[in-house]
Amino acid sequence: MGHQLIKMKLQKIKIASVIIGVLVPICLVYISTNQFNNQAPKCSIKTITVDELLKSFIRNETIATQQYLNKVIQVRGKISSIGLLKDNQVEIALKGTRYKSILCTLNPEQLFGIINSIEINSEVLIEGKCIGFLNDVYLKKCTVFKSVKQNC
Amino acid sequence: MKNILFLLLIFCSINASSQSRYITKNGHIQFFSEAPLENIDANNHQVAGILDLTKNEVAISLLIKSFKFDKSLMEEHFNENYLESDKFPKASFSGSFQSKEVINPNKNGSYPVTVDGKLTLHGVTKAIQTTGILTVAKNQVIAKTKFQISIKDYNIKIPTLVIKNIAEIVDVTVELPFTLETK
Repeated sequence: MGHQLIKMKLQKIKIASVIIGVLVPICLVYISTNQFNNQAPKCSIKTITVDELLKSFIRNETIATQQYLNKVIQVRGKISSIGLLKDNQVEIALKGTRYKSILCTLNPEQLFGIINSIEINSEVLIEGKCIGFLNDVYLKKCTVFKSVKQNC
Repeated sequence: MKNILFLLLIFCSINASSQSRYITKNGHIQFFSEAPLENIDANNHQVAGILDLTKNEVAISLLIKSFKFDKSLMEEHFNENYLESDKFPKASFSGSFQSKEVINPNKNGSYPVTVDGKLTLHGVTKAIQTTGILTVAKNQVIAKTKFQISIKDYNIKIPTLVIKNIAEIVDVTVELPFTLETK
């Protein structure tokens, strides 16, 4: 009798482990992809195109720095490259002129699942903190939104 | 015939000069401070630079806010209290280098160089000299150097309370993978 009870308990544990083992990864993937696809860009944040942002820095770097440094902005443009920096940060470049672009390092929280969800040449809206201009404009802690349209 | 030869010579020289500019956007600079209470290691992998092998000149620039630290609190102090990155968002270096050998971009090899230039950090510009190695390999030139800077020289003030946490002399390690600029 006791032996049968132990057997039944063991079976229940086995079934529970299988359910947890299957469900947990499915839930994680669902949460991560859903977060990327459904998160909406904030309407209160200034939105600008790649061209407009680059032009303002090229026209007058001092004024543009005062205007954008440390500000969270949304930039609309086409992805020209996706690369991995040596410190494992993912850097996305938005296409600008031949030598100038917008370089965005991604928010680590958004990394999971993102690489498979975006493509070169796709139109995106990127939200990030502007940290300055060298030859390119740099944004950090970026979040990528696939849909360029905002419901504001 | 002479005119054709002259034009050909001009074309070749223009071509040669256009083949000597190299650029990078993913250079690496590391700051390392060894102090009695702790070691601080900061890395920036978004260093931009231009290397001109015809003029033997190099120029690099970086954003202070691109430095990453192990501890986010350290990063905050570095930006807000020591380097004041809102006031001085960039650091830059421009200089020229000498090599005992002529650096041939078409021939793979390593060339020891001496670099003289001006480093601007925290709004202060100082002349520095360092030695380094330029390694030429297939349309790529990797520049490596190590030098030390005194934080006092750049008017970086450390509060007495944390004086044992930050070294007065900081090691700077530079690695710049330049690729040939395409026209």
